[in-house]
Amino acid sequence: MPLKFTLNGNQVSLEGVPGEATLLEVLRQRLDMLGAKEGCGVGECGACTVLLDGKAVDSCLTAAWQAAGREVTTVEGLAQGDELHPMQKGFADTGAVQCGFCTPGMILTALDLVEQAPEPSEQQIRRAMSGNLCRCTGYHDVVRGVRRGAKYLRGEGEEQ
Amino acid sequence: MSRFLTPASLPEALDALAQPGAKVLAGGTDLMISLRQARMNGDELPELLVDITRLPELQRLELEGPGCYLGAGLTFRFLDENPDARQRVPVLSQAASMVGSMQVRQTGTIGGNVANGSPAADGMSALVALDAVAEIASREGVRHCPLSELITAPNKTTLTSGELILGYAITPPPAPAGQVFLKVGRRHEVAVSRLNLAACLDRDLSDPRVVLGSCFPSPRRLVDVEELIKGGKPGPELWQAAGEMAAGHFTYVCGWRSSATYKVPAITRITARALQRAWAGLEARS
Amino acid sequence: MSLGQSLIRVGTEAKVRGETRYGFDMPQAGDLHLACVRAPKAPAKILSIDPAPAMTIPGVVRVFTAKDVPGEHRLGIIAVTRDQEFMAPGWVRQPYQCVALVAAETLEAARAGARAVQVEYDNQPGVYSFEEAMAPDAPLVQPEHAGGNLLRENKIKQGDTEAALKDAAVVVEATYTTERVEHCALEVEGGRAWWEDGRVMVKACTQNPHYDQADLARFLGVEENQVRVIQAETGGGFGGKLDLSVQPFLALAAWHLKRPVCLRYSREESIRATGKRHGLWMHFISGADEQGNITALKARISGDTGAFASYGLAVNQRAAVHATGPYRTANVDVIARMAYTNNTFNGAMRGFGCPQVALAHEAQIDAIAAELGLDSFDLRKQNALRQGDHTSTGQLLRAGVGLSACLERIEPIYRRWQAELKHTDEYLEGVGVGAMFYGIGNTGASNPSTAQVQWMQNGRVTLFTGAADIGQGSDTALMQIAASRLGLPMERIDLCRGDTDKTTNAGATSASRQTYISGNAVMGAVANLEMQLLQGARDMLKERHLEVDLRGGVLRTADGREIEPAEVVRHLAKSGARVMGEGRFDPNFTALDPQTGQGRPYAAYAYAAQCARVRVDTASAMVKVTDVAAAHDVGRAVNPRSVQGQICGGVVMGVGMALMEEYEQGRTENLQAYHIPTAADAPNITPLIVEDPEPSGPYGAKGVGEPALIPTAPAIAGAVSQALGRPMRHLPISLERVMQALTAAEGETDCED
Repeated sequence: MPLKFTLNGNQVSLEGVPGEATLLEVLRQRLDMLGAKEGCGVGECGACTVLLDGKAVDSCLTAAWQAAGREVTTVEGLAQGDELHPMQKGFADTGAVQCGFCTPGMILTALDLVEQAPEPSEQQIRRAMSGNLCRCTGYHDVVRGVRRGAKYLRGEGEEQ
Repeated sequence: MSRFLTPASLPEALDALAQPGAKVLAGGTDLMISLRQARMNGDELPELLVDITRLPELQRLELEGPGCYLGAGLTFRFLDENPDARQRVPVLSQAASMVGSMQVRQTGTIGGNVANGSPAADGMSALVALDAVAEIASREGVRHCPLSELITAPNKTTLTSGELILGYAITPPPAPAGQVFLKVGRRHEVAVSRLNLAACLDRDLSDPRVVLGSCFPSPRRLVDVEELIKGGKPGPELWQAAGEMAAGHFTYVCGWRSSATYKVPAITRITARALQRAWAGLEARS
Repeated sequence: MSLGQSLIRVGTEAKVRGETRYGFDMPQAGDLHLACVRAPKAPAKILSIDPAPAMTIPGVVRVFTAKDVPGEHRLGIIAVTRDQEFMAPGWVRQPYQCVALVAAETLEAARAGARAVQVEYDNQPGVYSFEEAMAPDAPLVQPEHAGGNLLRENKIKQGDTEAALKDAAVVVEATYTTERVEHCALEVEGGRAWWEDGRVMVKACTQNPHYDQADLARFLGVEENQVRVIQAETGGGFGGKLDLSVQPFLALAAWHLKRPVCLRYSREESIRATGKRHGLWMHFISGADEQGNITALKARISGDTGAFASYGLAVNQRAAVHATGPYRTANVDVIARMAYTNNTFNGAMRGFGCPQVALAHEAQIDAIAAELGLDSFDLRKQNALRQGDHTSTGQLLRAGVGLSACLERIEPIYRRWQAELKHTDEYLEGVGVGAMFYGIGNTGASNPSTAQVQWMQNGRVTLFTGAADIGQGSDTALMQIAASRLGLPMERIDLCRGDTDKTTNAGATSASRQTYISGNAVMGAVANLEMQLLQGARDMLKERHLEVDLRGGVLRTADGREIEPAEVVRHLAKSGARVMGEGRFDPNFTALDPQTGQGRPYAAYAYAAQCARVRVDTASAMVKVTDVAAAHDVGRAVNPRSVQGQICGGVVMGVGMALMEEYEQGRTENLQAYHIPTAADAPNITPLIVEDPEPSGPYGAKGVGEPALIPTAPAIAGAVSQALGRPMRHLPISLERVMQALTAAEGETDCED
């Protein structure tokens, strides 16, 4: 039986996916979605975060088959052609990106957060982002990036 | 290689679980880690993974009236965010909010948390405080088991293969305002509990509950401490005495290990702090 | 001019799109996968290695052992201590050392093969601490090393320390310790190698592609040009990707098999197989006069480098050189000793020993202030190194000494926080200060960088650099320097980076050196390019004595004509010439005297001062760092946003070091057990940039990467000490240590320390 789900708006169908395969493996190895990273393999670092039906999950802790019939969003599904997603733009504009390895996961977690809290407080941001480890930024600019992305999403200020 | 099954109904799930080598996937946050380890070590994988996350029977939430019930499939994120849960069983909502990361809370469930039997499971301490009795089903039928009897040793339970926790009948303490959950970890979020404590008080001190977790093979209610509180006069002296008794209980059960130099004073202080806050919560409501 | 502007870093868009391909992302379909067989215990003799069981596993292609190493077994970044065997030749010196390497068609087969290889060990007695290593008749970890188990002793001697301590109005003495720390870059090590045109190509994450090339060539026993190293995008390093990691395995397998191979560490393997920050033991005796002027420091420092030296020499020397902290100290007697043991090796990590000694020098100045009843902040200002002062190595600081300015920037914040301090039933607050100086570049050693800048016929300019950007932002900084020096907008600059075929050696991305040293190399390359353009313009116009200069990206003659440089480039191209400027910079230094440690080890120093405010929970003993203000003298901020980003990142790494990070071999080997700070553990940070231009720096710039981290842990330790009313001298300041101090403070039990 093929595993079918929606990936970034497109139907995918995969044969021969074993039960123990993680969603992360399938995304990276079968679907060439390399934006999701493996930083620990045990659900601590959040570099593998993707959205499953709009909610942030660690794809290393999610069996690929759990995605069956659902919608999976990876970082590759955010930009519209040349136009970055507002959250991507928020991260870029605030210098929230240094080495960038944690960035895709960060952006997806942030999207889940702002879906619930369109104008999140600093404390809400810090708490929500605490499942996404970063060793470069000290989170200072990540907090600003989430804020700025939320602002862009609300259609406010494209300030320089 | 494991097969994967997403049963459409509870009977189908129980049939599947009756097969040898079947394993429950209740959320995956613990199971997937153990599968990864098994794959790295070349250990045998479960024959069949049974994904119970889509069974509606496991999603029940009843918090009014005498038959309060929590489905085993409820996730920590749900319990953290659900207004009814926050209002009626804040001790559980608070505990749920402190489990792992937002991503882990999104998929981790109170069923999986208990079945995994970790001594440090935050959700379990809160469930014990709610006097949870697990409803456990198998193809043979249903049995009920208080949580305190379900866990026998760290990561060991009386669950046999083929059994599935459906949910928990709970008896919430009378006063939601008097419920407090405290957790100590080595960092402020996404940490394994070094110790956790659930404290529930009501104004008459008629049904106090004090549960200490991450200190014993499984979280346990400190009955002697609860007795002390029942007969006591609410105030700092009582909370301090309760804390000292809690620490004494820990020393009695676990002996004086190296971890005790931290844990004994920490249990004393955290217990007193939790009780004081629980009482303050009640005062604020009156 | 782009210099000094907070431009969005190059590569950012690809990163937010998830399109950046890191070393970790290198594996491609059809690659062979590699897996290492690692020894469980050390030391041990390897009695036999039987690959046969592995070879029966479907998909396993080959098992390599030390016998398959065609060149030198012993590799290492510091030439005099080249001692790391990537394939253990008959003897295992440290746990997790690789004894065999399996290549297979799939990752699963490679791992199964690695488990199946039969290795017979004969365990030997070993040494597992500095003390054991130094004991008479201790078994030798590296018998080849001339000094027994003592890797190195570094001395700094200045003045008459014993006399000065005798005359001091106050003498404070204490022992400080720090533990081993894991870099924990989010990207674990990974890469790919293949065979092309009779050469081995290696594309992996790294902090130093040209060093990798040299050591891989040595490993394979070939000329350097037989190995091409391409730096893959690197997801953080912090010193952890300075030593070779996956590269020797990749190169060896590709060399033998002539097929593409890939290897990626799991987080566990990454933690086990790569170096750590050294834990140091530090005994400090400081003397001061009645006014609080520091007069003497006697310090004894010891450390354990594990079984391989890695950067042990650099850490030991830097710890000694920086032991006084950024304070005038006329009489100095420092001895730092580093030993080999059979533990997993320690190497470079952000600061090379300075974050460790900073704990001690900052607590000492607090202790002097307390003894004398003086204000510890004032004491720092009073003793702060200033222009015209000499360091403990006798180096005269001629210019660019911005420490006082840093202290002045944080002082109002510090005073405000002190005034706001609160103690309640539930928590205690404290404020602490950390200050530091940090020599940019390698210590008392040549560490040149080279760069090229080429003006293309299409009018664009390409900057060639071997400097590895690992996320810290050197690509952008170097391009900003080039653009500004050329008078061009950034958009006109292209970058070619980190490919040993196309770029030349820029040295390691370490020691906070790339902005200063490679930045200077870029400045030199542009100057050289400019000279070629001017000469070319005269040649093109056939006016040998034409007065012309390059301004705003255009050649302008004295008589008002404007010439596009690309025209000159095209003109010169006709005769086959290209217009490529070459630059090279090696900081001005002298080697340190081996007996006294006197000399001029660095051309430039960065300075910083930070203060931290903490809240200690009296029930749980958990410490929350609520705020940090961090002032850094960077000489000149090439990209202020990037500088602030480095500062904030360093501060939070310092929070980890101060409160929670401790690598315990065999215990904290995944991210569930080894904790680094989350967003919720990070304080509010106020990054403050101080610019006291360094005359020898590009546009006055120095460096900030390591300085960002160094003062944080001491500031936190000082803050917790104030909150608890007891000195916290041991890192990490764990729950256990805080609880012990809390209970001791309340007289519940005796404090052991």
